[in-house]
Amino acid sequence: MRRRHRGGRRGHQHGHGKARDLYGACVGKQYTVEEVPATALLSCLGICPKSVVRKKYCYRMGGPVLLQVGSREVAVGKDIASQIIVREV
Amino acid sequence: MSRHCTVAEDPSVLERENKILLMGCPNVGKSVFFSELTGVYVVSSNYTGTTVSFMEGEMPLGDKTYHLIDLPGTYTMNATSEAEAVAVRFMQSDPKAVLFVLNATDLEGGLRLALEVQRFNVPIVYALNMVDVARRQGLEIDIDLLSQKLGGPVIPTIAVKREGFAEIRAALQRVVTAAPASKEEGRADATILPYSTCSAGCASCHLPCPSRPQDNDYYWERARQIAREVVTDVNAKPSFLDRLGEAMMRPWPGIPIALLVVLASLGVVVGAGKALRAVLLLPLVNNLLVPFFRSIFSRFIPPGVLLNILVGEYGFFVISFEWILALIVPYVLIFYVVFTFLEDTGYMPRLAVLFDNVMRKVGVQGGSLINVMLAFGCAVPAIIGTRAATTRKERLMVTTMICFAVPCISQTGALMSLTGSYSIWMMLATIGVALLIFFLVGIITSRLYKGTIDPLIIEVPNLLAPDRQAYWVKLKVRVKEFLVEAEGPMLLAVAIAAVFKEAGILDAIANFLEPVMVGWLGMPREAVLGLVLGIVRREMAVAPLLALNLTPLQMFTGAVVGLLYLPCLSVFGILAKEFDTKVAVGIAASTTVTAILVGGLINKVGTLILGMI
Repeated sequence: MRRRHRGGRRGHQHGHGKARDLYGACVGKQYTVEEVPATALLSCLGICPKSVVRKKYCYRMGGPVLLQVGSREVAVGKDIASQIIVREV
Repeated sequence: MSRHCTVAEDPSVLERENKILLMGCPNVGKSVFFSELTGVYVVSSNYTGTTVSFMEGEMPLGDKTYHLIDLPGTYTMNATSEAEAVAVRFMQSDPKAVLFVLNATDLEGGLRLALEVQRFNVPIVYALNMVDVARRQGLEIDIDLLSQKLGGPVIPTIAVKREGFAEIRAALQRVVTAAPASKEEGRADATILPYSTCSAGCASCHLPCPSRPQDNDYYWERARQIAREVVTDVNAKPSFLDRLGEAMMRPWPGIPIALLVVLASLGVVVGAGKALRAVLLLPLVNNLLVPFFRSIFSRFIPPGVLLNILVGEYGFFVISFEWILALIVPYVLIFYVVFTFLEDTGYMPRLAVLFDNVMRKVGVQGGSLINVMLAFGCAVPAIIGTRAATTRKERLMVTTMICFAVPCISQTGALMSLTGSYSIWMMLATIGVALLIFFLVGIITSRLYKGTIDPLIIEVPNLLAPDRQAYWVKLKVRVKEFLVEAEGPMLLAVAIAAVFKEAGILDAIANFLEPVMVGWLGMPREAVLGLVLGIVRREMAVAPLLALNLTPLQMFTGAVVGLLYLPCLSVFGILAKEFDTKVAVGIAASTTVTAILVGGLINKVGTLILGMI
C-alpha cells in the first residue's frame, strides 16, 4: 500500500475544486475520487477513481470517515481516508 | 425439507454433481435463503461476514435433489481473499445454476458482482431481496426491465418474511431443467439469457469468459448504468427507522446513544437475569428440585460415598441444578434475547464505526468489536469469526484479547452473582479490571505479534426492525445450541466436582496448591475446586466460589482470577484448530500465569490497604 500522508486538516486550505485528501475534506460535500490506495476492498465497495462519494461524517480522535457511495454507506479508517485523493464536485 | 447440512471445508464438495450455488455480496440475506430452501437453520445477522466458510444442504426441486452451496459473501470474483477464491473455485466446478441474491436497497454493488458472475456462463436466477426496505426508502425498481438487463429471471423477495420462495424454487427448477444445448436455444429462452450474451459460442464453458471485459471500472460503470435505468427514487419521507439509523451514525448523538445502548443492554442482562434467578429459578431449585432428588435417592441408597456423590454438598443432583439451572441459564437466556435483537437490527457495525478510534488506540480496528461482542456469548464462534480479519496479526490479537479478558455469558453470569451479591461497586471494579486487561493485552500484543493491521473499511447496513418470526427462531436455535453444546461439559465438570470431593482428590490438590491458593491469593483451600473445574468450563472457575463464605477481598480476587484464568477446553480446541497447538498452549499458559499474578497482586495490595485502615 502506498503511503500518502497529507495531514488531516490540510485539505481545508485548498480552494473549491482542488484535489485534497478525503480525511481533510469538508463534511457534507460531494467529491469525485481521483486516487485510491491499492486496497482491493475499496474498489469492491465502489470507492475507485471517477466514482462520486459524499463525505457524511468524520469521527474525532482519529476515528473513521463515513461515506455515501451510491446507495451504500461505507466507513473508512483514518489511515486509508488520508490516502484517498478527491476533488469537490 | 432438508436432510443434511454441513459446514463444508472438505474440497470433495467441489466434485458433487447437481450443485446450485447461493451467491451475493455480504449481508444480503443469503443465509436466510439457505435456511428456507434447505430447511436447515443457519445463524444469519445484519452485518457482513456471518458466513465465513461455505455451507452445504440438500434442496429438492421437482423429482431431483440438488446440493445448495451457501458461499461466503464477496464483493468481487478477483480471488484476492479466501472467500473470493472459494467462490471462484465453485463457479469453475460445473454448477447447474446460481441463485444470486441482490439487495434492493443497494442495487449497484450487487449488480457489479452479478455482472462479474455472468462471465462464468452458468444459468442465474436473481432474488431481489429486501424490496420492503427499498420501498420504505422510496426506491421503486422496475423488475421486468432489470430482468431484461440481466438476462435472467428476477424474483422480488422479503427473505425474513419468507416471501417469494415459491417463485424462487419455480424459477430454479425452470433453469436447471432447461439447460441450453446450444447458444441458439439459450437465445430463445429469456430465463437463460446469460448464455446468449456470450459471443464465444461456449455454452458449456464455466471458465471466466475471455470475450467479456474484466475491468473493475467497466463493471462499476455498467452496474451504475443499469441501476440508473431500473431504479426510481420517489423521494419518500424518511421513516422513523431511517431517521433513527441516521441519528445513530452521527457523532452526536450517535456516541451517547451507543453508550446508552451498551449500558442498557448490560442493565437488562444483569437486572432481568437476577430477577429470573431470584423469582423463578432459585425457588424452583431450592424448594422443589433438590429436595425432590434428595428424598428419592435417600429412600433407596444408604448414607455413604455414593449418596454424597449424588446428593451431598457437591452432589451431582445438587450442584448441577444450583450452578447450571439457577446460576448460568438465566443470564445466558437474557443475554441471547438482547444480543440477537442488537444483531438483527444492524446496530453492531454502527458500534464498530463509532468506537473505531478507541479500538485504534488498542492496536486493532473497530470491526474487531463485533467479534468481541460475539465473544460475550461464547469465545468459540467469535474466534472462528476472526477469519474475516484481513491479516493474521489482527486475528491473533483479537483472539488473545478475547481469551484474556472477555468472559463468556455463562461466566459473566457467575461473576455477576459473585460480585453483585456484595455490591454493585465490586461488579463495576471487576468490569474495570477486565477493560484494563483488554487494553493492555491489545497494546502488548500489537508490539509482540509481527505483521500489520489494516484500517477499518466496513459497509454500514440498514437499520432494521427484526422480523418477529425470524427473531424467535434464531433465539430458540441459539439457546438450544447452548444447552446441547455446553450442557455436556458443564455436567462433566459437576461430575468431576462430586467425585473429586468424595474421593479426597480435591483435598490432595488443595494441599499441593496451598502456597498459591492461600499464601499468594489469600483464598480458602476449598477455592482450588474453581481452578480444577475452570479447565473444563470458564464459569466453573467462579461457580464454586459462590458456596464459600468469602470476604469481600477474597470475592474480588476470586472474580479476577476466574475472569483471567484459562479459556475452557472448547476454546483450547478451537485455538489449536484455527491457529496451531503452539498458539493454544501459549495463550492457555499466559492467561493462567496472568490470572495468578494479577489475583495475587490484588490480594497483597488489598490486604495492605485494609491493614492501613
